Amino acid sequence: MSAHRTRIGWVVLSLLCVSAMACRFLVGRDAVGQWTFAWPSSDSIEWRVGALLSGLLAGAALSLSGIYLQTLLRNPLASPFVLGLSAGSQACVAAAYWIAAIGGPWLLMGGAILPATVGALLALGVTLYFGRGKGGGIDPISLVLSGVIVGTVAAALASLIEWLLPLEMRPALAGWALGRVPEVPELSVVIVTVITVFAAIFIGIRKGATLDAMGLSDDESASIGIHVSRVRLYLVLGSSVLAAVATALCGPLAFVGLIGPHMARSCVGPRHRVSVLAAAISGSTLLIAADAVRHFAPASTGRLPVGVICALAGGPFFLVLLRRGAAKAWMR
Amino acid sequence: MTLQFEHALIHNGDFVLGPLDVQFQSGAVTVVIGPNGGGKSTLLRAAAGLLSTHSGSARLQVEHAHRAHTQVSSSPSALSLDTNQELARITPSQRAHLLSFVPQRPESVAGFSVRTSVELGRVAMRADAPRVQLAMERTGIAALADQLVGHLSEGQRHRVAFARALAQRTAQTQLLIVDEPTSALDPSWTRTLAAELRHCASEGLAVIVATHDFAFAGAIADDAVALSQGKVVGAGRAQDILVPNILQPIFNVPFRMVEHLAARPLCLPIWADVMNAM
Repeated sequence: MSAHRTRIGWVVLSLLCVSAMACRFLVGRDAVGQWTFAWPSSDSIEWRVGALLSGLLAGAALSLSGIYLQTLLRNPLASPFVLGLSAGSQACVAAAYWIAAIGGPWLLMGGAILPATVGALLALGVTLYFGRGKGGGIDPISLVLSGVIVGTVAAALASLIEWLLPLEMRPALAGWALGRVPEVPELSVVIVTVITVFAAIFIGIRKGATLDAMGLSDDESASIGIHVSRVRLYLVLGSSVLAAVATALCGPLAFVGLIGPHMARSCVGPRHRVSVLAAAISGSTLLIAADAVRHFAPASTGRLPVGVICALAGGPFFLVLLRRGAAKAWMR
Repeated sequence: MTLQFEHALIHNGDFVLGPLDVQFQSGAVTVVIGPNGGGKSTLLRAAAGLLSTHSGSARLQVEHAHRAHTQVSSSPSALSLDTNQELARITPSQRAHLLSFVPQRPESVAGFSVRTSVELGRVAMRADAPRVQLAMERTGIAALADQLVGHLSEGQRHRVAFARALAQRTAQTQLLIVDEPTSALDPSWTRTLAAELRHCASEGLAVIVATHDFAFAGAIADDAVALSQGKVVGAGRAQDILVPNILQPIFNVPFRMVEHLAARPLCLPIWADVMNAM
């Protein structure tokens, strides 16, 4: 991709991101549940900024997780939701709540991030184990299938555990499980997410060429000097932690982690040196836009979870990728 | 430099190659021949240090004189090799400085241009735009530099992989390993490749090539290793190995020495029986 096109890509991406943020900041809801589009009143500014921050961080984390998973697996269909990481996190967080309900709230001291990380790692491990082809290599479509099943089972487990919880604990967890961008995010989660996202972007830019080389076959990347197994391990850990912090913050969100990397590559090209940062911006843009759009839904009795918008918009995108044979083109 | 396998057993999944007693010399082209499944790729991957020996050893002996020479022109990240180094113990970065490897089915990264793909060869070392440009010119892909690899034909993608291997060369590079390069190539590129491999050998590299193309093998080989069912059937000078007595039993087709085509006679598979039966 020429330098000129890359520059245009950055401009487009920044404009999209700024407009999404402006929209989310201006859109709100009045006393009767009707949507409004105006400068927020002084007491709701704090909430709007909180929602913006949550969306910015969770979207970036999901999209970074997606780009690293796609690099790890050489599979453009990979994303934390499709491979079951989000649902794995969800199930483990639900389990942690359940344990805390039995054993006392001090058990949840570490917050949702620790169980979320364990869940993401477990889910990715199981998905990789069952997604392997016969020859030991990873077949892109069986991997996705395996991930979808792992995700479904984990989500069912999460629902089961929610049902076991005491009644007063259920609503908070149920709302989170549908995917929502919190207006008052938990400070500890925000801090961990900020650190994770910035580290992921920094390392991605610094090690861009190494990540580029991971697109070759194992033998080729090993012969040009890549420590393939070590880079793989880092990618597994990194993408799991990124998916986990996003899930801890916003609940399981579909397809942001899938579309973000594709949007980034189509804007600035496939080299990781540029596409990692672009993926983070794309993910933030997508999640904030979805969070703005949900306000326009006629839902006076409650608030439409942002997870619904993500799934509605992202599902068709996945099908288009599948239809275009993206997985095959990548493997060539 | 000598790459020496001694009583080496190499496991590749369920396949076992060996015991192997062969050596590869710098400045020489060694062709590895044998039927499909005979162990050619396994031997090449072991020579690249991508498979370790299960027993026995694969050692790299670098002469002192050559070492002193390379240290003069060494880059900051230069590899420091013992004079007698176990191949399995080298680090990925040392491997990148030491050898280039072109697999049988090279892969390309989606969305990458030809130039970017060739530049990947220098991931572990300092970027070197002139060398990348030279590698593309010598493989005849300089005109395609800004095209996407995904849009190229299989033969052109092979050229990209070979250019990447050339771009990877440094003053320390000792080995060039190429697995079945001619299977997707037209005659003109096969000839260019043959000349290129000879050129690399003349510059002091040990060149190892697996191939089924006997005209190609005969044209470039100094030495040859014949493999069948995971065993070495013959190893030595090419004129002693590329002969009907050795090739006929392992391939099960008649071979004949064809004289007068070139400076040296070629040993080619000639099976007239199918045509005669028409």
